[in-house]
This record gives sequence, structure tokens and C-alpha cells, in this order.
Amino acid sequence: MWRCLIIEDDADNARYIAEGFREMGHSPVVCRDGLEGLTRATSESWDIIILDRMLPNEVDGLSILASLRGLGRKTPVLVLSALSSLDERVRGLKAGGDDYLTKPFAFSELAARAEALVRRAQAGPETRQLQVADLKINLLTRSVERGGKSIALQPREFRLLSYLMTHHGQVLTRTMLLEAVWDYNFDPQTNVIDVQINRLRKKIDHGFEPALIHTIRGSGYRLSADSGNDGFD
Amino acid sequence: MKTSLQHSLRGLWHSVAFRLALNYALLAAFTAFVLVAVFYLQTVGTLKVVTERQIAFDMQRLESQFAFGGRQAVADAITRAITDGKDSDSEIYLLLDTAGTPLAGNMRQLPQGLNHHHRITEFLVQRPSGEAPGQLLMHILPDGSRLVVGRDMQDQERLESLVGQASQAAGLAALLLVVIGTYIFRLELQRRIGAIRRTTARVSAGDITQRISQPEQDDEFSRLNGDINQMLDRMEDLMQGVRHVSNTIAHNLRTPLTRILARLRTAQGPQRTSQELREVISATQQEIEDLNIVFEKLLQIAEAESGARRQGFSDVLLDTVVADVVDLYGAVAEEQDATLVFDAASPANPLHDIRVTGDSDLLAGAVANLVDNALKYAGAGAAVRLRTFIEGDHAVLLVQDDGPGIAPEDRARVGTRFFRRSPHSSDVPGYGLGLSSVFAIIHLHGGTHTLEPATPGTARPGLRVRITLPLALGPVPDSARASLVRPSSFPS
Repeated sequence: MWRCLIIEDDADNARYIAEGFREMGHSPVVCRDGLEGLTRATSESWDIIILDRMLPNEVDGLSILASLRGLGRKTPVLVLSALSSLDERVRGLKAGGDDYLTKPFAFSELAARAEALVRRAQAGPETRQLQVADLKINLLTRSVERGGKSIALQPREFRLLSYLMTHHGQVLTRTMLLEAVWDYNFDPQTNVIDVQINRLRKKIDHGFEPALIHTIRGSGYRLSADSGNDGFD
Repeated sequence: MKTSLQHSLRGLWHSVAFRLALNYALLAAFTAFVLVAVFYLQTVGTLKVVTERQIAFDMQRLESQFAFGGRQAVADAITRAITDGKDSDSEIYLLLDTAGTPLAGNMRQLPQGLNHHHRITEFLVQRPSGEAPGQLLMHILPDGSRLVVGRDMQDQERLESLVGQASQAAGLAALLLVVIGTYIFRLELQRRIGAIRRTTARVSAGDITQRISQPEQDDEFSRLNGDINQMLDRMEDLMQGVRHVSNTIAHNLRTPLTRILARLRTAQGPQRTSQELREVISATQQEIEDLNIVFEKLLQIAEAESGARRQGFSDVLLDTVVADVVDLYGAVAEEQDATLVFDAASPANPLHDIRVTGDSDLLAGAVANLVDNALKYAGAGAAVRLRTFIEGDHAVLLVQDDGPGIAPEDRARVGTRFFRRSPHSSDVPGYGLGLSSVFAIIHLHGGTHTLEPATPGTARPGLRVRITLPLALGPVPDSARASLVRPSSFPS
């Protein structure tokens, strides 16, 4: 269960986010202006902070972020903004943000990215062997096997699988996958990621039990041994 | 009355033309002054010194005569000097005995106030021609008689005044020339600036088509005119673009919005089951999300066209970007039994890598768009080929498919917003914004694009898109080369 701080002055948006987190079983707190947000961010400990850029009295959320980082706080921060240009995104990340999401967004995207940030902050030492059910991969030798059988993957397919396995259990959206596996931040046409996932499925899921790669409708994909649908629609 | 005069004077003072001209005038005047001063000192000043030396020398000569032969020797010497014809109209001598009686010389009497000074002083003396200024020196000889030696300064003074007059005349002439020059300069400046100001005034009033007319000469003002004209050209382009965009946007956004509203209004009718309402909500949500995507793309195109993202540009390896996109779409190609091939220009040697200056995300998006289009329109079993190479100082990217291509009548409209080329049906997804986005991105990178059939004259001529991009300048330093390589690990 996470303690989430939401610094957002738009009442509807704040409620949307807070309810989403509450449904996930976390405990959200909403601050409606920058000063209160900064005070609470620095005086209490949080697992994740959702920070809107446009705050009352013409305060730019990035200034709060800068103050937070200046005080040495390493709390993961996900920046929200209606400003979508790449320059603004770069500014947001340079100011100390860990991720940047433009409005309007689906809560599922926000949740998936928030989970990735929280997990990363809590992560232990890097492992070189990952295993989910009977699927094993070795990050050093780049070998993949399932049910004892060795599977040959192209380099990019291996990257995709590693990412899914490193974040097993988490919902990963299409944009997250494009960023992490192909290192690009643009809006892909059609369903190019879906097709890539399907190709991977053919290699590691077909003919094996249980199916590990799940499609989460409206959100993205998740690799896990259980097929529980978290349903962030 | 007084304030308007003050106002116009202040205006004059602040005028650049006036101040420039004034500076030059002062410089000219100063130079003239210096020249005249030098000339004056050299002529008149020198003459004065020479005269004084002559007087002193003469005095010394006569005093030595006294030592030689007493008072009479001096008197004789004076008489000789007066009658020898040398300097006769300027030399002045007088010898007086102790009682004040003149013994020799050509001066009638001792001027008032001339005492025993050992300095040469100026006095008015009586001369045959009248009163004249003279420089006189008086010594008292050992026997008590007084000896006066001097020079008539009339001629010198006349020369002095002549020089003075000439200087004044020169000064006036200089001043006059300067005033005229300033006036002409100011006129010319106002003329050139006036042309600019008139044009910009007309543009401000709303006529963006106005341009400054260019004279033949290639001076600073012509260049300024050229720059301003270029700027106005660009502004006109942008304004046309905006006008076009708002028209198409208005249509293409209003239609889905109308649809959404209609659906919501119908849903508000009585006796709608909760199932129906849920469907309406879901469909509306989808429409709004689609609308958002269109909006996002339009924004991106507008941003790209306005050049706003140029600040974030860095070195990009074109082959890497294309290879990544080809890798990404490989699965899609497989699924529709199409072949997707990339002939890179520089397979192995990084020194021949094609580097352009730009944004790798934007370029990847553009290439992805082209590949996507190619696969989409060429359909199942398509053959899509990409190639990069260097031509001169440009990088060239070719994206070619063997589909039905673009009908000649559509070729001009391709790339305008929302245009979908035929054949298109509802099972070819898209928003009609892809190519406009691609062209805007290429244009932002300073590149050009052309569309032509891949195999003209055949039943399926296909499409070849040719993109050129200017190469990045300068060699790659080793440190930068390391950072150009994509990281093999990914951010978790």
C-alpha cells in the first residue's frame, strides 16, 4: 500500500486520480496548491508524488520539484502537464521528475507508470536471472528457456521479454514499452507494439502452460503467472 | 510656441542622423582647427621668435661696439645700419646721451614708459608712416647713455591678421560644407529608412503582402531590406498556414464533436437502459480519445512547422533511427507477409555514419509514419524497401513500396491535413495527418521531400518517398561517438 501525495488544483482531476489510487488499495492525499504541496512533500514521507505543473498563483510545479530535490529528497515524482512538447518534457525530467505524463491521460497509464517508479525506488540489487513460472531468462548470457526447452529470440525480442520480466506483475503501457525497449518517444501508428507482443507470445507462450503475457484491455500488457485482471479501464 | 520649438529641438538632438552628422562635423572642425593652429604657430609664432633673436643680437653687437670704441663707435654703427639698406623699414635704433638728447638712430623720441628693462617689450612708436607697434629693448650703457634696439612689427601684424582672416574663412567654409553635408546625409538616411518604415506601416495596417523595394546597390541598407523582406515572406507563409489549418481543423474537429453531442443528447432521452447508457459512455470515451489524438498530432505539426523545437536538436545517426524503426515494424510486416528491407549506407564503418542535426524522436516518428503508410497501402505481400545514402552535403532517405501509389490528381493534395488518398476505406485506419506531420518534421529539420511513383507506367506504380536532410557539420569527436551509441540496457 502506497502513501501517494497528489498536488493538483483541478478538483475533478484530483478526485479522479485519488479515487483511482484508493481503488488500487493505496492511500492518497490531495493538496490543492503549491505551498501546501511543498510543505507536505518535505515534511512527510511518501512512496510517490503526482505533481501537476499548473498550480494556483502561477506557480509552476517544476519549482516545487526543484525545491524538493534541492532538499535532497529522492521521492519518486511523476509530473503531469497539459504542456506536451518535447522541450517541456525534457524540462520536467531535468528538473528532477522521474516521469512525465501529458493530459488528458487514462488512469491506467498513470497507474502503470507510478507502479514502475515505486518499484524502481524499492528495488533491490540487480539480478541476472529472472524466472516467472517455468520461464527463465539469464540477462548475462541472454539465454531464454521455458519448460526446459531453449528458445531463440532476436535481440530486440529479448529486450522486450527482459523488460516484461523485470516488471513482472506490473501493467506496462504501449508508450512505456516503446520508450523502454526501442528508446523512442513518439506515438506509433496502428498497433505496432501489439504485433511485436504477439510475435513474442508465439515464441514463449504458444504451446506452454500457463499463458504468461496478458493483454490488459485499454491499458497495455502484463507478464505474470496468474491471469488476474486488475481492470484499470 | 516655445514648447514646440523645444520639442523639435529635442527631436533633432535625438535623431541618429543628426548626431552622426554632428560627430563628423565636430571631427572636421577639430581637424581644421588643428591644421590652422599648426600653420599659425609655424608661421607667425616663428616670425616672432626670429625677430626677438634679431633684436637681442643687434643689441649685443652694438654693446660690443661700445666696448671697442665708446659712444661714438655705437653711433657710427647705428648710422651704418640704418643706411645699409638691409631691414631699413623695420629696424629701429636710438642712442641717447645721459641728458636724453638723441645722438643717433631713426626713432624720433623715446616712447613713454620705456625704462631700463632687460626685456623686449611692445610699444607704440612713431614712424615715418605713422604710429606703429614695435618691439623695443633698452639697455643703459656703462657711460650712462641709453641704447634702444627694436623692430617694427607692422608687417608681421599684418601677416598675423591675414592668417587669422584666412583661418576664419576656412573655418566658415568647413562649417558650411559640414552643414550642407549633414543635411544631405540626413536626407539620404531618411530616404532609406523611410522606405522601410512605409512598408512596415502598411504591413502593420494589415497588408502582409507588402515588401520593401530593392535598389540596385548592395549596401548595408539593401541587406537590411532583404532581411526584412525575408522575414515578411516567412510571416506570410505562417499566416497562410494558420488560415488553412484553422479551416480544416474547424471541419475535422467539429464533425466528431457534433457526433458526440448528438449521441449524448439521444442518450438523455427517457427509458434508456443502463446497458445502453454504458455503451454510449464507452463509445463517447473512445471518440474523445480519438479526438485527443488528432488534436495532439495537429499540435505537433503546428509546433514542427513553427520551428519551435529546433532548440532541442543534437546529432542523430540517421541509419540507427531507420534501423530501429524497421526493427519495430518488422513484426507488422511479418504478420501481413510483407517484406521490409533496409539497405543502410554504412553497414560496418562508423566513420561513414550519416549524421544529421535534429531530434531522434521526431525523425523516428516521421520514418515510422512512412513505413506504416507503405505497409498499409501496399497491403498483404507488399515489398517495402528503405535506403539511405549521402549525396553531396545531404543525407537521402528513400522509402519505397509496390502498392497502388498515388493517383496524379491526388499528388498535390497529399500532405495537406486530413487528406486521405484513394483507395481508402474504413478498414485502412488513420486520420489523414500522417504525411503532413512527416513533411512538417522534415521541413523543420531543414530538409526537403518529393513523392514519385516507384515503377511508373506499370499497373501498380507504387510510391517512392525521397527525403533529403542536411548533414550535420563537423567531425564526430571520440567522446561524442561513444554517446551516440544507443545504450544496451534500458531504464527500468
